[in-house]
Formats: sequence, C-alpha cells, structure tokens
Amino acid sequence: MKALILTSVIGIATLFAGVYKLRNKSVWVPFLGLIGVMFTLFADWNTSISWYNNMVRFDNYSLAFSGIVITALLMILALSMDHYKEAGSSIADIYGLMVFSVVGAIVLSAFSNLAMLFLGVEILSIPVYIMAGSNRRLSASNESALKYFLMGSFASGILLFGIALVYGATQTLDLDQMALLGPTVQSPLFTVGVLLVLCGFLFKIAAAPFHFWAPDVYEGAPGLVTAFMATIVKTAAFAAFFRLFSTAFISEESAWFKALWGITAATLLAGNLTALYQTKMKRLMAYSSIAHAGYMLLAMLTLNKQAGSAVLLYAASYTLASIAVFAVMLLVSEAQESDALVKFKGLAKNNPFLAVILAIALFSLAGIPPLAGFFAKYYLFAIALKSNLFYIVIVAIIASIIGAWYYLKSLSLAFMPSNEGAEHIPVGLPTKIVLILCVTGALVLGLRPDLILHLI
Amino acid sequence: MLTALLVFLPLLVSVVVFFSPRKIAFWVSFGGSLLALALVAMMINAFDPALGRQFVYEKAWLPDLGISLKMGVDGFSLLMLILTAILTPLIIASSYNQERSCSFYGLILMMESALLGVFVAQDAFLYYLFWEMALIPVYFLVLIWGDDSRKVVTYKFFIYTLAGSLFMLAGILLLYFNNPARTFDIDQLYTLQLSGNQQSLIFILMFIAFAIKLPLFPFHTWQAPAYTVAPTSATMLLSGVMLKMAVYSIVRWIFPIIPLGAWIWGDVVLGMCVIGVLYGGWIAVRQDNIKTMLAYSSFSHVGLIVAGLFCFTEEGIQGAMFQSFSHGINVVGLFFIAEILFQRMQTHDLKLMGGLRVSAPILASFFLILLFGSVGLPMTNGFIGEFMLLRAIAGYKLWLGVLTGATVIIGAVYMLRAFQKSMLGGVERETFTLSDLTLREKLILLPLAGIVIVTGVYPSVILQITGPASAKLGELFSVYLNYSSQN
Repeated sequence: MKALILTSVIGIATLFAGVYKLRNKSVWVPFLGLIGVMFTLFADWNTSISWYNNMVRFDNYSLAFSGIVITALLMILALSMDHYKEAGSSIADIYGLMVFSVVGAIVLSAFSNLAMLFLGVEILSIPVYIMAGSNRRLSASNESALKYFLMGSFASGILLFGIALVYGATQTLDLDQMALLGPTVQSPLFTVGVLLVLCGFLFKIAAAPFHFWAPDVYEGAPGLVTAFMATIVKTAAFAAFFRLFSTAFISEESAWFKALWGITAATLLAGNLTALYQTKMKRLMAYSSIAHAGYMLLAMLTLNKQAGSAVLLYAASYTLASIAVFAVMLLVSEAQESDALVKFKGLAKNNPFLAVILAIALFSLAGIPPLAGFFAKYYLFAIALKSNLFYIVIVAIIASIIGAWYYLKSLSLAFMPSNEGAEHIPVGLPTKIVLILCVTGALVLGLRPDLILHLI
Repeated sequence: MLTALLVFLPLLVSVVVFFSPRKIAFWVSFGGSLLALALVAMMINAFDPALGRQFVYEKAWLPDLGISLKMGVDGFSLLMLILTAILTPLIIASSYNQERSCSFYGLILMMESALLGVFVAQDAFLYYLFWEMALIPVYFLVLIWGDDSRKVVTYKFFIYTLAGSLFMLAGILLLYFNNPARTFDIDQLYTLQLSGNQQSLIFILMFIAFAIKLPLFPFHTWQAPAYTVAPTSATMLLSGVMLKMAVYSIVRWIFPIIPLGAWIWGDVVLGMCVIGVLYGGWIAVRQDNIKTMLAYSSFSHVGLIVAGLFCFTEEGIQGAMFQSFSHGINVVGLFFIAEILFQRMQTHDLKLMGGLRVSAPILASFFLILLFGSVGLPMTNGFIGEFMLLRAIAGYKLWLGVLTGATVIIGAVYMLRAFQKSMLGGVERETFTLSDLTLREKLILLPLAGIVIVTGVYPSVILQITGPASAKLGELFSVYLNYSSQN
C-alpha cells in the first residue's frame, strides 16, 4: 500500500517538476522517488495486508510484480535521460504519465475486488493513450494514439460489461467471496461474464485474434513509449489476468479452458509467423511481444501455484531482454533515421558493444540457454507438460523455432561484415548502465532462476 | 573437481581472450586449449576403464527442480574428451596465419567448453544446456567469418539444429515427468521402467535432434552447404567434434535409458543410415569442391557409424566409438589439407588443381596418409573402425553388411579421385609455384598422421578405454537380441 500511495505522490511531484521548468532534470524526481518505492516493496516483503474492505491486498505476488514493473520503469527513465536530452518543458508530463500508468499497474497486481480491477485497467491505459500520441507532429503517432484509444475503450467496455454480469450472477465484486461462491453459482450469466472479462484481458495483452491493434500502435508510438507498452503494460495485464483467473474464476475453468487453449495456439502461431515477414524492428518487436504473450498464456492454462512463478519469471526475463532490444533499436534508429532491419547491417563492426548486447538480448528472447529467456520458456513448458498439455507444448515448441528464425534474421544482419550501417554511435552512460544491467540480469536469471521462482 | 575444472577452464580463458589484445589472443587461446589437453592427459593417467564413471563432480544447482551440476567421466566420455582436447589446439593452430580477431579464438574456446560439457554431463538438464550452448559459437563463427553465401546457410543450420534440440528438450521433460523422483540425474533415469509406447515416443523426440546433428538421411540438407561456407576452423569443429556429440549422446542417453525405444525404431534408423551411406558416397563422387566432397563423405561415414550402433552388439558399439574417434582425426586432417590448398591457390575447386605432388611432396604425403585413414586401408585407423562396423552389421543382417560394405569402395573412389585431381597429373595452371608445408603446418599434420597410424596398428589403445562401457551396453541388448532370434 505504501508503494501505491508513494507512487501516486511521485506522479504529482513529477508534474510539478514540469511546472517549475526543470526540463530534462525533471527525470530525477520520478527516478529517485521510484527507487524509494522499491525500498518500500522490500520493507513490506512477506506481509499480506488487505486494505479498505479488501479492495486491494498486497501480498508477495503483488509486491513481486510491482517490483518488475517499477524496475522496468526505472530502466526506461534511465534510457530517456539520453533519449530526451534536448527535450522541451513538456517532457515532465510524459514522465508524470508514465508514473501514473505504473500506479495502475500496481493496482492491477494487488486488486482483490473487481471494481479495483477496472480502476487499475483504466489508470494503466489512459496515460498510455496520451503517451502514444506524444509525438504530436508525427501523424503515425497520432494514428497510434487514436487507434489505441478507440480499441482500448472498446475493450474496457467489454471488460466492464463482463464485470457487471459477474456481479449480477454472484452478488459480489470481492474476489475471495467469489472464489467461495463460484462453484455454487448456477447462473449462465456468470459464465458469460467470465468470458467477456477474458476478452477484455486478451485485448489488453494483445492475444490473437484481439491483436490487430498492437503492431500499428507500437510502430506509431515514440520508441520509449513502445518499450513501455511492450513491457510494463503487458506485465501488469498478465499479473491481473493470472490473479483473477487463478482465484475467483477458477470454478468456471471448464467454460474458458478450451477457448483459451485455441487462443494460446493462435497467438503463438500468429505472432511468430507474422513476425517473420517484418522489415522494421519496431513492428518485429510488436509481433514478438504478441508471441511472448502466447507463451505466457501457457501458464494460464495450467493455473497452479507454480504457474504464478512461471509468469513472473517469464515477465521478468522478457522485460529485461525487450528493454535492451528497444534501447539498441532507439540508438540505431536515431543514428540512421529509420528502424528498418536493414539499418542494423554492419552494427558489429562499428558498434561491437551494442551488437553484443543485441545478441544476448535476442538470444534470450529466442530462448537459447543459458539465458533467462530459455529458462523461463523451459519452466513454462515443464509446468504445461506436467498438467498433461502435451499438444499445446508441441505448438509452442514449433512457435519457438519460428521465433528463433526471425530473431536470428535481425542478428545476422547486425553481425554480417558490411560496409553499410551506422558510424560509431555514442552511447550515454545511463543507457550503458541499463544495457549492462539487462544483459547481466538475463544471464543471472538464466543460471539462477530460483532467485525469482522462490519469490512467490 | 578435475572434471568441472576441465569444462569451465576453456570458458574462463575464452572470456579472457575476448578482452585481450589481438596480438596475444592467439597465444592465450592456444595456451588455454593446451591446458585442457593437459587436464585430459591427467585424467587418462588416473582413469581405470573397469571402474565405470569416475572423476564425479556433483553440486546442487536448482535442487527443487531436480537439476544439479553432476559431471563424471566414463569410457565413452573419456574417448570424446581426448578427441576434443587433441583437436581443439590443432584447430586453433590451423588458423594462426589468418589474422583472426580475438573473438574468433574466444568463440572456439567457448565451443570447446560446451563440447567438453556435453561429454561429461550426467544430468539431463545440464547436458541439454551444454548441447545448446555449443550451437552459439558455431553460429557466430560461420556468420562472421564464412563465405559469401553464408547468410541463408547459417539460418538453415541454426534453425534446423535448434528445432531438433527443442524436440529433444520435450523428450527429456517426458523422462523427467515419468520419473517419480522428479530429477534429471542420469542414475535415476537409468532405473526408469517405461512402457514400450512411452519409450518409443521419447526416442522419436530425442532422436530427431541427433539425426539432425549427425546428420542422417533425410535431415542432412543443412550439412554440405554449412561445411562448405563455414570458415575451415568451424568446419573442423563441426565435423570433427560436434557431430560426435550425437554419436556419444546415443550411447549415453538413448541406449541405457530407453533401450526398448531404440530397439523398436532400430530398423528404421538402420534404413536411414544405409540410405545415407550410399547416397552420401554417391554425391561425394560427383563433387568438385573439396570441402563439399568432404562434407558428403562425412555424411556417408556417419551413416556407417550409426548403423554400427543400431546393431545393438558390443562389437558394433565398440566399432562406432572407435570410428567416431578416427573419423574426427581424419576429417579434421583432410579439412586442414583443403585449407592449406585454399590458402595457396584461393580455390576449393579440384578441377583447378593438379600436379601438386611435384611442388609440394610433403603435403602430398600427409594427404595420402590421411586419405588412407579415411578410405580404411589396413594399418590405418579407418580400417579397424570400418572392419568392426561392417562385421557387426553383417552379423546383424548379412545383406545390410554387403550393402554398406559398398562404402569402402565408394569411399576409395571419391577420395582417390580427389587425390588424383589435386596431387597427380600435369600442372594445369601456369602460375603454379606452390610452396610446400611450413613448419607450423607440419606440426599440425604430424600428430594427426601419427594418430592415424598408431591407432591403426595398436587399436587397443582406444578400444580398451571404451571396452567395459560397450560391453555393458552389449549385455543390456543381448536380452533383446536373444529374444528376437528365438522368434
């Protein structure tokens, strides 16, 4: 709870930093504040306290997911120190919106009432709608914001409709009571409501066939905002998704299991197959993020205690690797004025540091040992096999093979000796630190995944 | 402790090499690989084949997932360790004059570490990690230093092998879940009593990985292009050692754990092998690029090795292990000859060579010795291996023995053709002033040629290392063989 309140205060303080025209120094307000929030997470560790008539409950699950989200935001803020060097006074607004969005993410990891779920989704999404359009002069950015807003509100509507039906069937919004009542509810309203809520979530995590908005929105939004959407929004949505479906809606599993099975397979294949044909890094990462949502959906199909750890590990490893890729992409696309894959040609020659980082990050995303991405995937496959989900694991394996193909395609371009490509790209100190942290994290989690698996 | 040191030492040195100045990178990596060789020599010295697994190193890693750092060395492992440790310094030395950057040498050492890891891992998960890690250095070696057409080839190679590995992972996971102790420890896996259907499924999943890595027909299409475009050092690693990972894995992870699965699919595998033996040889005869020719010859030879394994007799397994070792030595030597020719003539095309014997007699002699080894002339290592394998196959099914015996003839055809085209005949190019071997090249070829002859004359040097281990597997399968001969 401290984390939630403190983060909200930091958001407001960040806006004031804009009022006082701190310009690019304003990043330090959220940066230092969020480091403080991290400490409160550690202080609250191993407590499980519910607040305000069980509206939110902060247990290790929510603290761990909040930790990932805040770490990701810290990294994105650090990247922005270099990226927005010449920024005008409006930059503090962006920082403020990011912090507010993370408030929503924290709510989503901790809600124990469906009303809070809806509030969390909205707090998470609305700042992102604005952020996506923050590059006002670029029509793609405007398009991105509009598309995201329209589709997002539509999905929120469906989510709300689902919550209303569930409330109608169970007479409660409280997750714990719903978990108790669930098996006794006979009303078909409950089933329909659960399915509608499922659709709302699938939209937020961009699972097929609700994924069509993602590539355009990701491509149009400014690079750091894309990184924000791909990592923080996705992690928070999964945290909420798992929290809800593994407790309150578990009694309706028979209703949604088959649908989710098909959606998982479709997401895995659609994301990976479409990514194969991309020629731009941002779009490729958009489809890759769809594909990774597919892997995480495997955990939704199993829904045991280990599945929570699996989602957490996967979210952590995916976040670390993605941020590294986005950071390298930002640097290259700034130097080359395009994020087309061909612009990565010859990266290894003039920028060996960036190339090695990109290699490790992409290998982690592709799931090559000994990196975190491998272990996260392994663990998901293992728990899925344990629940006798043999065929979906085979689909996931085929999807990973396709996945490796396009990650290596971009990597091959970077490492092929070539005279084209960027001259030496200067890398600022904050970016360097973030990149090294991401890569070290990917290695450490690959060798010692129990550090995360034992958290919850 | 010795085992862990052996595996992680090259990895540590490789990290040093990555950050060392270009001038000393070669010497640091060469020194590192020699240190590994010295460690293996210490192992040979202390090794007693009769005792089974030795030098065991065990340390908890992720206990609640049943994963541990368990390593050990038995006869099969030791033979492969010797092969890896001998070849790596020679492979590094073979690229001395090519002014490679430090990452080149770092990657080779990384590769050595992963290969050694595969050969000592006694925990299925650990084994899988090393198996996959061996892929990364090769990928970069081919991608950065390969020929012009490498882009597509590296994808194909990487995706193909990765695909195989992932199916193997599924197989390993099935072993894990069918195991009440929920561990990847090989000793627990040995005690499993799985039904025929389960074993059969696990066999398919795991064997796909090996069939791709070896490669067996019809999974071989990545091989020839990859061997051809890869820088020769990488080709040597691929053909000399990496391919042996799969041979070794069959005797380590398939035969003792899922013997029934292997038995059920044995004839299919034999069929794949025999097709590969003939098909590979037939294509090799028609190749003018010496590297492509060697690639197909390797494809053909490997078919014979695996066919020997799937005869399920002690002799077949012994022959396969012996021939794996010999093939590693011979093929690396032959690829090195190809590299020497390339450096002097800037071509791999046999048609453009000819009459080299006149200007480079020592080169021609070394070529001939290695070629004899590869063809299987008596008194060379190839003879012993092929003889044992063919006898085992003929003992299993006579007509198969006769059919695969054809490899000896086809092998002689394409090898002697290569020799004739390059070394004999008139001098075809006017610009032909080829220098003979340098001291460095002699020093690399000498140990290889020495091993070809020594192990050809005293095969027991090798055979005694793997003897007890092969006997144990042979005994395991004698039940099946007796049962099928009664019916």
